[in-house]
Amino acid sequence: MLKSLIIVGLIMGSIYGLIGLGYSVIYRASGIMNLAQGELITLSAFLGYTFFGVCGLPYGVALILTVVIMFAFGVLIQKGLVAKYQKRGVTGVYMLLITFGLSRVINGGEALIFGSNAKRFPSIFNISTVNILGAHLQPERIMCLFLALISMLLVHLFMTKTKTGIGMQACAMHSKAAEACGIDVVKSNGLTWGLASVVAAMCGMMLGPIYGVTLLLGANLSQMGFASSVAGGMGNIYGAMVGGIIIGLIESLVGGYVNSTWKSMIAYLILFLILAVRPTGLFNEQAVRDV
Amino acid sequence: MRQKRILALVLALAMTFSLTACSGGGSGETTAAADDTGAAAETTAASGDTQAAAEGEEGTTQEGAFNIGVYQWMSGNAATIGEEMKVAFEIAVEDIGGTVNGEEVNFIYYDTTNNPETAVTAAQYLIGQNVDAVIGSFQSSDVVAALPYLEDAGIANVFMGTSGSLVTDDQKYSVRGAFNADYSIPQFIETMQELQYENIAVFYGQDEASIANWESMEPALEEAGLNVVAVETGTESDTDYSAQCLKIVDSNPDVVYVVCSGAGVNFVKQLREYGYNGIVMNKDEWMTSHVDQIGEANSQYLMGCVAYTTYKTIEAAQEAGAREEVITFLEKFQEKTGSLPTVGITYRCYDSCYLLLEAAKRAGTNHDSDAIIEAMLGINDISLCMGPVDFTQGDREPCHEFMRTIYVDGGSKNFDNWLTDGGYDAYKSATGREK
Repeated sequence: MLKSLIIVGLIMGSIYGLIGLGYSVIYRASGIMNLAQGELITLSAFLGYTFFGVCGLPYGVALILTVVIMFAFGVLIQKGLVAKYQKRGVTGVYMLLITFGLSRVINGGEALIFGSNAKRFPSIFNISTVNILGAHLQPERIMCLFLALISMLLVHLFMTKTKTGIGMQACAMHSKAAEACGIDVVKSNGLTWGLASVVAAMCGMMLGPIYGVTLLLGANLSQMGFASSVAGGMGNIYGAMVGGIIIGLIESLVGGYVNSTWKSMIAYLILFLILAVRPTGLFNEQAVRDV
Repeated sequence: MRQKRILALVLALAMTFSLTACSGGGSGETTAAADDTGAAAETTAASGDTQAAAEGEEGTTQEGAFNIGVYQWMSGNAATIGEEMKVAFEIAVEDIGGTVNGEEVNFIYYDTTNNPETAVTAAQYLIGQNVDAVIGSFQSSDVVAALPYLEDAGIANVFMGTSGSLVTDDQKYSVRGAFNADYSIPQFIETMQELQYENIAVFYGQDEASIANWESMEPALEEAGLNVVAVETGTESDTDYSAQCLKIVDSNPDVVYVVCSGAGVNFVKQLREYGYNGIVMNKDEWMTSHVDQIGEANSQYLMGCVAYTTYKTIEAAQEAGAREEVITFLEKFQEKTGSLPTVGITYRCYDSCYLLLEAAKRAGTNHDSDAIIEAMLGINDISLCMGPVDFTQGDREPCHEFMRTIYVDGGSKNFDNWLTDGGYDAYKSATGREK
């Protein structure tokens, strides 16, 4: 059973890491802690269900449509809400409140548009389980693991090796200085939220087939995703994944050998321990200062 | 700077209010007129004044009517239950003759929003409204919270929760209008013995009803000499049950017994995905809404000992050997809505409402709780969706008969017929299981 628990822990950890990646992207590039990330995941799952489950489009097409819509939605949030409040000087904890309020608004909108009943997101593959080293797993869960790793790599490369990505980080450090260097801050900020929404879209499209689509899908899982990004160092792309895997493994092993009702509690206690030893996370990510 | 502080304060207040609305703010409405089905106005107030159900208002009693308060989770994930409940009540009122003791029936609803604290508010509100009687929630946690207040106020109340611990000897005004889930335990045990099962794995939820049922089931399993090889727990709101599923699959049980709010739908789905393909005995009825949620393949071989279950068509209900009363109710429901109930709770709603109306009718009064309860506890000569009603066995329970069902090949079947027709052999072939 240990083998199975480790495999499951790695997969759960990759899910948390992928969710944490969304938090880290926005924080790294804008200094904002986005509490609406969970609801963006839920919204993506509902959109994916609509395209794939209801309209009967191929999964790949549904994925592309969801990603495009969520990217546009992310940019809209940034330009229509975040930028306006930032222009008025809203920062720090007040911006946190704004994102929390946004999450409630999105959740209410989901209930209104898609209804409150849980939806069955059809399986992506024709086989229901695969056997990996004795553990029966849904193929969608295995896909999550690979997708999370690929996403982490791609986001890291984008943020560190491309002009746009480096520009996004520069805007987070000091927007006026970045502007003075010729970086389009407005466009950059929009891209940040668009990118985080794309990550949410990937999460939603992966999580829907595994857990079904409910109004609480993103909210429940994003708690651990947030913890993952904090554990790894808020804003650190690789840190989110490592933090997620640590939390996923702890949850799985505690659930398997101790008591399943304690798994979240112990995972958070371990998080406290990590922060006690490394206050800026495992990868020692310095918090982006408010300007 | 000052403007920022004012803005922050306004935002914080707005979010606080929205949180309150989302989590605990129950709402009630009078249904004497204008609801979703549109027919309630005719049923509950055939002539004379009707009171418009204004959204958000908590509703009030009507003079000269039999005012029945209803506290129940009716929104969010239970919105369907709320809608079906109102239709069930409507049918019950029609079946009793439209009026009771010469008075129209007026329902005052209070949405508990899945929060026992709101159930307390609901009870207090309905008491303040001087309702004549109350129909209580299907959620045992709501009933536990609200019942003491209704007892203290001396209001006759019929509740729909199925937790075994809800009925106690010291109750004077409270009666169950549904089945007691613990009464199905002997049949589950008998079934395990009949199929020669020895090793049982259990998953139970952290809600009041599930814990109570497990506390009754555990000694019964021990007494029957059955081995409990794994016991796992979780809540309905948990998203991932990987660890629990792995442990249960690893224990190689002959059967898995599930008792969890919402029938543990997500747990059952993941249990199947982690490789368990045997029979799952579920304390709750496996409903068509559950099948819709997790698919036919994952619903295969879900077994229950229930008073009733849902069906996709009336023909399927007839084929599965459903009671005549259930068929009749389904026909009336379909006539009103064009479809069949998707949740078994709808049957509880009909039965509870009908029992209350019948008791008031026998008591000859709508406004004397003592007389209504006395009349209720004498009922042993009618049959409802739950089957023959008999309150006279001294346990304050109406339902003492259950039927065994199994969900197989797209529908609920009578378990005894399934066994007789070779279904169990086919199951062993299909799953590769010895038992």
